[in-house]
Amino acid sequence: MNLSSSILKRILHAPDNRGGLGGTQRRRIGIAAAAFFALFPLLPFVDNYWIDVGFYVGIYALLGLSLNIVLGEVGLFDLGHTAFYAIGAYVTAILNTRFHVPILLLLPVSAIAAGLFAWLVTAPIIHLKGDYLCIVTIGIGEIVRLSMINNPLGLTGGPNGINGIDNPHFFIPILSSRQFYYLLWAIIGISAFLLTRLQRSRVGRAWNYIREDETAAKALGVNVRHYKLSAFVLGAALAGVAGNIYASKQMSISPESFTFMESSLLFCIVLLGGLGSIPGSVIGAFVVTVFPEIFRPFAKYRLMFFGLALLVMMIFKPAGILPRLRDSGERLRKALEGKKTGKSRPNAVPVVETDRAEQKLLLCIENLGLSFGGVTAVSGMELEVDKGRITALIGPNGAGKTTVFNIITGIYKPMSGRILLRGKDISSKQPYQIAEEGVARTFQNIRIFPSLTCLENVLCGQHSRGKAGFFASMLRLPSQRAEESRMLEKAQACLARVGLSDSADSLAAALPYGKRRYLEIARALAAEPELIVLDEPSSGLNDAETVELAALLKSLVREGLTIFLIEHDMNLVDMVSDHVVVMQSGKKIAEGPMCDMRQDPKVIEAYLGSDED
Amino acid sequence: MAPLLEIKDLCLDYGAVRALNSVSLKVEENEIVTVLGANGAGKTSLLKAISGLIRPSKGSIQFRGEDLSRIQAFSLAGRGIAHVPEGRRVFSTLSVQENLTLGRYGVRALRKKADLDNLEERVYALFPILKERRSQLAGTLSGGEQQMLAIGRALVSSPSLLLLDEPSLGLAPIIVQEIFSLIKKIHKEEKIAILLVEQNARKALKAASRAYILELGKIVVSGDSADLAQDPRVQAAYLGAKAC
Amino acid sequence: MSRPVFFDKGKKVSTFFEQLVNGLTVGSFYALVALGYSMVYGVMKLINFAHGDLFALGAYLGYSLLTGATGKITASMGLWGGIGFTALLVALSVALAGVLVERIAYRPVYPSGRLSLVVSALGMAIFIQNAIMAIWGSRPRAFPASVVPSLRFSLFGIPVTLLQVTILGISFALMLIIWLIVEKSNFGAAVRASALDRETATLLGIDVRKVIFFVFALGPGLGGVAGLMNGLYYRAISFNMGWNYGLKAFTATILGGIGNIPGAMLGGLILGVVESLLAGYVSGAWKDVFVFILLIAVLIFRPTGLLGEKTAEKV
Repeated sequence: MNLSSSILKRILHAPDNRGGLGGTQRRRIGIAAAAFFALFPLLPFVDNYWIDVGFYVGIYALLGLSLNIVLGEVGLFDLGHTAFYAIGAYVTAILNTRFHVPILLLLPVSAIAAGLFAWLVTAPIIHLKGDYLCIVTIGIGEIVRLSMINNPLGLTGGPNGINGIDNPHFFIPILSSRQFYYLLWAIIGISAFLLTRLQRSRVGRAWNYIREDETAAKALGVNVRHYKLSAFVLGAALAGVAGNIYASKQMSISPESFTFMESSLLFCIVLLGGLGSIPGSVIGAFVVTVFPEIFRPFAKYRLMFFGLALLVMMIFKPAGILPRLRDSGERLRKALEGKKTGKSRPNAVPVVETDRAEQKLLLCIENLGLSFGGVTAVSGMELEVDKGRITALIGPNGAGKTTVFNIITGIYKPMSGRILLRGKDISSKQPYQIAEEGVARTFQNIRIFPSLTCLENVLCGQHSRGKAGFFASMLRLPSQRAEESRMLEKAQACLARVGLSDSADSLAAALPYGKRRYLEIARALAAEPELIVLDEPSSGLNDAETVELAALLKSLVREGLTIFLIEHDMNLVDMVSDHVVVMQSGKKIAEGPMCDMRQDPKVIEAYLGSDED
Repeated sequence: MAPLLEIKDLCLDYGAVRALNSVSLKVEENEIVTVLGANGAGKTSLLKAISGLIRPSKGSIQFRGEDLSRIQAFSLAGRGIAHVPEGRRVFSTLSVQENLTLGRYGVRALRKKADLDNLEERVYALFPILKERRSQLAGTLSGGEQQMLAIGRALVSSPSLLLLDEPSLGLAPIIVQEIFSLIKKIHKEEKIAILLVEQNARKALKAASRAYILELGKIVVSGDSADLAQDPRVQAAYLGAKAC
Repeated sequence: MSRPVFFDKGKKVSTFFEQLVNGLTVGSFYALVALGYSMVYGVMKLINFAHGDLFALGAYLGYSLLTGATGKITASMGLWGGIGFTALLVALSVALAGVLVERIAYRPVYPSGRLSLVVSALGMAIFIQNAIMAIWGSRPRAFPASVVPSLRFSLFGIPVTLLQVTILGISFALMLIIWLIVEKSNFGAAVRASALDRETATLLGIDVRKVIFFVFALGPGLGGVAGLMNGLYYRAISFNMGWNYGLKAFTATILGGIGNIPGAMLGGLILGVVESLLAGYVSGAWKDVFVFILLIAVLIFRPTGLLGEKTAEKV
């Protein structure tokens, strides 16, 4: 089972996006919780012990937030996250005890060191999937812990660790439990604020697209490698910050604090709270820290109960305590307003500037070949797609049609031949680059992002048309706001174009099957493509829906788009295609208008088989 | 006498998508019946419903008068239904011999060594090439050989009904030829009923005595295959019927 | 860092073989535990994080059977009878625990997907580990010294102990049995077939539920016996020993190719030997670091393991 389908299942288990705790209700609870955390150390009956418990809730909350970036937002199984926390703590401890660098100055240093370390160790392994990545991260966690024990160059103090770390000095020296508590929770507040902004930006959405369906994200212009790496780096940097504060509060650190068990706890925090949910990570940290504290009287049994509690949670509430609510379009727009931004330029229907007369040929495939382990999927395939027309690729099952599509969109690399888009060879490019070149696609078995809203799904198409990065998104620079509102408008226009405006805020998983096709088409349109490649768009649609689809495709072509589709439903091919290419056994066997193809003995034989024995 | 397999008003849904809509068909003892239709018409779903891999939402499937809808999929093999799935699905890292031996795993009566040897010899007689390669890993066979292995694996359970899903898929024309003559031979020598799902309509119609044509989950035409071979509706099911 | 005896010419060869025998002994623990990971992963595509703790449970059950009142009973059976009886009882009870783990922690969670399974597996691991602590206490326990007489003798010129020979004998016998079951029997073929393609296995009449029961009983059963032998070998056992052994055995699983049964045995033995030689000739302290670097290198350059085959991903 892949990650996206598992997430789909969680969502279907979880209350609907609109159901359960609503947005406003949550906001009230959130304010109450923030007030509680702010006032808690001042309450008369709270002693230093419980303030310290509050501090450790904070450390786990910060670590939870940091792992949530990697695991929650991007869906990367990271079971060695403690390594980055350890790097932060040890960098702080070493630089402080040896060179007396002030703790707060070491805060950014720890973050950068942990981030850099994460980049170095994850860059070679980032392509690994699921369990394999999980195992490697466990290995990284262990390597870091064991190295600290072994006291390399006498720096880490071996199993005993490092003692005598200073307190931070923020105008006044920070000494008491209460002061540490406020310092830490202030940092958590700022981090949560910035992370929420990231979640509502091009960057945060790109992370989610990868989590939901990596292939679809790739094909629609998301540079998967870049975003996965950046999630690791950012998550590690935040863990490094947690390490810095932890070291200065404890005044001593040792490898015992950075075990695999800690990494497992962090993993549980994120899942308990809800994947990708920022308040969820805080709640998860609260549960994981306070639960064993409350059960302290049963000292021997408390962790046993904790293990059982994790089980019970996963059986009865697999989506977590506070699953992330997706933002409505309204909310996204409001978030952009605040300050007056430059009125974004009106951008009506998705129209591509066309110059039909100038160049007729848009896509040209020359002598294409690809085989898988000795089985030839495509060989010597030739094909041309003219601008402003609908070209259909048909052929019996197993003829290699989808393989051709996967080569065009860069998911497979051809073994021979070239693919020319506007005369330019794109066969060696990455999928996201091909999307940027103006090719968008849909998939045979519908690959939408099930637990995102329809609007967010369509925004994915716009990803390749924007450029706002991390800092612009966290700081909400004017350029980023303008870009976001342009993207929103465009996405809404595309949804409207396929008649899904009413569903903009509902989760894609909640759409009926037929509408999911349209959502996929809207997502492709939002990429402002010149060529749109549709893999069996009519499959699963009934007759009436197919007629509707045909009308949509025709009107898109009238607006200047070029369409290339694979289809089994000859009614649809009849209705829309200007030109038909027939494939069999990896080769083109005929081409022309559908009427001629129907009479062509080679085509009939390809479909019905030959008569002679 | 009741037919070997009788399906009545079968409906099957994948979530909101109806894959089969009120399908009724029957297969008599020792008869080849073919189900034709374009990709996505619901042919594979029909076979999966018969062998219990998917539960239908409505309708009944009776095999030798017994209702199959409450029976676990794995115990169907022991009742005499063998299913050769689409795409062959041989166990690639098991040897040819192991693949064959697994074929009668579900049939308790056949666990005796002598019966098994006997059956295996018959299968090897049908597919001599498999005997040559019995110790090779199945994944190293060619597509046609894998198809033969998949069919052979089904035959060692000594079924009374053989479900064949697209046996010619992705194979070179000459191999397709060979597979079809094997199907006819099996039918003649083993005296078993075959429900054949095929894209290669002409060949399937030649091999079968009766045929059903599925379009969008519904049976649109059925009858003797000799008659259907001349019927323009067969071609229309694949290539559409628009007059030009 | 312990200084290797490498420079003493007279001792060089025998030390090498001693390291080798020691490595094989430890490697056979890894191999037995790795089998459990590999079988479960093969059929369920699930990393059973609780497996290491089932290994520890085996060690503790063995400890209880060999000491106290039950110790008298096992002692009365004579040396081989006592060990055989203990091993059998440990295997059966840990197998039962393994089946319970599947029923309680995994089966209800399958529908919620991979991530939830990881959490429930970790939850189960924490539960078992702390249950062991609650029952036997948090301080390490020591196996009785003389279960197997501490005899030293020379085998083909290599100095070995009776204990090592016993452990290697039992381990290799168990591995041979598993290999015969999995590679040579019909049921073994059914297990491998279910791991490759459940749907087709079902079509052939294989009851996949039985296969799942089998892997969740056999894997932990073997792990439990490995735990017992580990206790006999090192004598000291602690409630959290499962984490570390689990990780090592898991590394062995990856080395051999996850889901590959002969691979898991080979991976375990190789890992044990490599570790022992690293400890003897390079650095005892850094050996684990090298082991994990090796793990990562294998995953980067040969993700299907030493015995694995390449697979293509379908879009």
